[in-house]
Amino acid sequence: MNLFRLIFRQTWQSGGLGLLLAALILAVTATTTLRFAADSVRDAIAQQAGQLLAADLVLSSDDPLDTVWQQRARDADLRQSELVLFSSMLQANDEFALVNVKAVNAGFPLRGELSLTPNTLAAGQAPAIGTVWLEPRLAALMRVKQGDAVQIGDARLTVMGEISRDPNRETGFSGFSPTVLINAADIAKTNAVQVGSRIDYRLLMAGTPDQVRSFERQWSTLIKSTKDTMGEIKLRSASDGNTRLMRPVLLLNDYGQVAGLLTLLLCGLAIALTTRRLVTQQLDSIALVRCLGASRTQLMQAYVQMLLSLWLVSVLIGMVLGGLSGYALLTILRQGLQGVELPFMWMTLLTGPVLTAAVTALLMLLGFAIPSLLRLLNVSPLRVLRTDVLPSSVSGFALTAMAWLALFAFVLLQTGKLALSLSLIIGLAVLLALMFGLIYGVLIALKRTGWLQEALVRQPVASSVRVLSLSLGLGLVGVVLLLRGDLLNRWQQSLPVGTPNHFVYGLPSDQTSAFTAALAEKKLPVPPLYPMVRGRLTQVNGQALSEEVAQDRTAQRELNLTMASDFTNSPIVAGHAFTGANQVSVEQEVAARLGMTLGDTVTMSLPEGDVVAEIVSLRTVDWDSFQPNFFFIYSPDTLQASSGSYLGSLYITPEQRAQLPSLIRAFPSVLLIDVDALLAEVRRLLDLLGQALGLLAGLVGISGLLVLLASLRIMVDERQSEVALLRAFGLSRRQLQWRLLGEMALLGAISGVFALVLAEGLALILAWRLELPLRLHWQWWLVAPLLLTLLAVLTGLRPLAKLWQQSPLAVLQRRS
Amino acid sequence: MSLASKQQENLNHSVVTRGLSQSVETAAGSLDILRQIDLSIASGQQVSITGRSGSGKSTLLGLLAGLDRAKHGEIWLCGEPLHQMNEDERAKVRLQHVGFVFQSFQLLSHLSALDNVLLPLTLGRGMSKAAAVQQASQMLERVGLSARMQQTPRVLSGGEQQRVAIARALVHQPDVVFADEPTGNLDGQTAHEIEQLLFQLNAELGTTLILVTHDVQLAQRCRQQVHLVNGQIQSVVADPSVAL
Repeated sequence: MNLFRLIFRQTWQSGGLGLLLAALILAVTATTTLRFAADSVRDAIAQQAGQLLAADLVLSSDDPLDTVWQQRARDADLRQSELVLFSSMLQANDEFALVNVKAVNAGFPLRGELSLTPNTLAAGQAPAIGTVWLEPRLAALMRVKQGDAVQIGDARLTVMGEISRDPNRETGFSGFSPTVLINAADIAKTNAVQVGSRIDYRLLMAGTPDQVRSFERQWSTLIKSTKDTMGEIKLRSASDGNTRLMRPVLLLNDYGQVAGLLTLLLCGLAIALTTRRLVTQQLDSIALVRCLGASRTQLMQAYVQMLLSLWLVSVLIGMVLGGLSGYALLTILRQGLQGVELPFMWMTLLTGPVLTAAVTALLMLLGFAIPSLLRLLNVSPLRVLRTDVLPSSVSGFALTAMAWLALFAFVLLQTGKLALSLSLIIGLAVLLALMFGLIYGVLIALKRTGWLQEALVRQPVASSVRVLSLSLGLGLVGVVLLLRGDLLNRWQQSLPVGTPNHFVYGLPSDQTSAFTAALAEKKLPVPPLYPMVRGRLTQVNGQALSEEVAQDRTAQRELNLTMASDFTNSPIVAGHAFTGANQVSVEQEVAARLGMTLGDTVTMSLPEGDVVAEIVSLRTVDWDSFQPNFFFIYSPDTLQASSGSYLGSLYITPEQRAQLPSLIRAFPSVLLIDVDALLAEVRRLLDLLGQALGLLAGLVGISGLLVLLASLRIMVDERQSEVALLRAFGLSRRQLQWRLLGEMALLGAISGVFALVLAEGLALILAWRLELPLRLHWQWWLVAPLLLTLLAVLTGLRPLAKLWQQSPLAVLQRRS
Repeated sequence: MSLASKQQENLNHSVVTRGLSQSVETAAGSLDILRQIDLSIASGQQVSITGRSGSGKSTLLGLLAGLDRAKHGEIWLCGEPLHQMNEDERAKVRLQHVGFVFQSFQLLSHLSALDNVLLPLTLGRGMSKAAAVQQASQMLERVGLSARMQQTPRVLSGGEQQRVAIARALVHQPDVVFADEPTGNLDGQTAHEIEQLLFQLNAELGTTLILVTHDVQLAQRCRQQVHLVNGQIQSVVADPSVAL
């Protein structure tokens, strides 16, 4: 026979464990979902970025890649495709154009979709041998159509059509040259690949996130051991990709982390309240068991077994629920992101998110349940004779400290970063303290006015906890509603107003006047055009770059430099405007990274020779502005503008798009990059994330309700005698019902107001981060308190019914 | 009394106390609850402890049963020096030697009558579940509840609940049964039945019965009657006319 079974049955049937189990299950579900969501979003973002690379990983080299790399990719179960990129002349109808030739084989692209106009091919099919696909502007320039023949080097190829979609935006050596796609088998025929030619050999790879990470790990090990013999092989990963555009997505991902933390906090609160009630309920039973001869060790073993059983059950149920919500989340992401591979694997769920959730549930028990339960071990058997004998209680400070320690451990487990975890926990503590103080202050103020029913303010701390939990739980749901209903719309709407959607790239310096004249003639906006000269940073103050600075990626690559007399899009934060030639303005973060300050001289190596200039100002740059941005802007007459091409950006309305083909024909070497498609992808991803976060916010909302339920049960226990006395003195059941439900309604209304304060506060912060105008949502100020009033009354209906349904005589007899 | 004779007395008696005192600390200072209690209760004896409210009888019961630790004096229970033991050691003594019957029955409300009776056997070691269930069932039969073993206390009457409590007190064959106002919550007829049952089983099993009561008639059924006034023994009446 087992004491655990008897104690478990007694505790379970007295209703002490149901809510504790529910809170644990919710904690496991939320953590599993959160971890799963974070991993999925990270992988989805990487794969979205992968479409720009046409792969998840790209190995590139100036020399043909050894076949050992293909074998390694095969070993990692990665799909692969080869790509060779070179420049060549294309000839048709006696016209010539320098083109970027992308020679691909079957399977290209591994990420994203390639399509042809007219669409005569099956989806995903690459150019056949002997054929060529052209960019539309090249077709327009060369005046060729489907079936015509063109010459690339020595190869004569048949035009199959125009490339209508190529997610791989990499433009090769000559950024402003148009691109053509041919089959890799035709490379030899072109005779364009000769010794000394500039050729980029690439191995594209794609697979599941785990496979990609496995290859990356292998690469890291290899690069450490064979650094000197690897040559110029480089590995690029999609996860290094376009994070700038993904900033709002990452912002929402941060919200997911906060939502997860709040769910845990509220579940912890529910666990703490339920445990407190359980301890109060079990004092007499434990005193009896002690009286009959149970030792502390026996009791401790029984309770450890009980908690472990609860933990195990919560992990099993939470795993299934978390798996289901994770699956729902993946389905949402998959529906919206075509071409993204996000396989749902129970094994991955078990070894990653579920494991974290299981540890989290243990932490919850350690931090929120065990400190209170320890009190039961100190119950004196004498309590069987004298009910006034109470066990010594654990100090409130110790209980709070344990709870925060558990939360901190959870955050550390999630983020793996000590400083970030500390700041999150401190931030949360400050937020809670502020909200609690505010709610407490309002309750006390209302009490003084005499408006508030006494019962709600008689225990202002307990009432504040209830209001705080509901506000937190449903405030976050409110934020998601605001986000999906308003913020995202406003963010989307905020972009088109004057936000450029086309970049002009590669405009030769001798064509700038003609180009602006053509824009004006077609009634298209005329943007400022910036010369773009490539240069490499070689010296600061006449000295070679220090080893540390030389390692910075800005110092390791060629930079785009420009000249401008003013730059309104990039305000000066230190220094002054240009006063003469040989002056330069530097973006402040780059200047800080490279250890440059005002007055330093900077030497850039350009094809036509070195340029030395003095730093006269530092600037900030808004990278999200969709305007041309530069780290280094030189004063007029410092650079030789004719050595480079010009860059600009403009907004073209859907109606004006019809003007573009003639513009492209007139300026064949100009590349017009359409960023609308890219933005549409980001918007769609944001919308999907909104749905995904709705799921997480729902979990926070449920945890808020759990806390309310737990605190209501305590309230019912505490007020049984009082209510019985009131009934005995003549208060009718109906009057009591109105009184208690009125109290719940008031609690709901106050919580509604505070939930809105929180939601609006967070929405304002998000709006500020997204640089949107700040706005309050007045329509919610009526709806939210009403909704929460209703919710609180409905939630309270069942637990409070015990108070008006019980016989006052029975209660008084029991209590006496 | 010599040391040897004291030791002999400790071993021969179920309960021996010497100079037993208990006090509590209050805001006004130390308050004496019991003062200089010297008692010797022979094995198999039936003893009542009476006194007015606040006379210290429940405190004395708690100390004799090892539920609390005395401030001063010695308590020997079945030869074990309770005054030298910590709580866990006293728990072991209670488990081996003591059974309890309370005024408010003290049953675990969500467990069946059988499970409640099983509790002392569960706490002990070395007994299989089947043997424990058999022993508990037999005890419930002896108290007349064979038909209601699977019922929870909520559906049992007060008298039936007290029968379950008596079965629980005796199931592990203790040396001493402590009863605190065992009939205090029962009507006259039921109280009489419970009284009969308690004394009958006590006699059959040869256990020592120590009961605290206000009920003069119940107290008079005991062979030894201890009367407390203001925490001190006012009288100890040994009535040889009471049949064992």
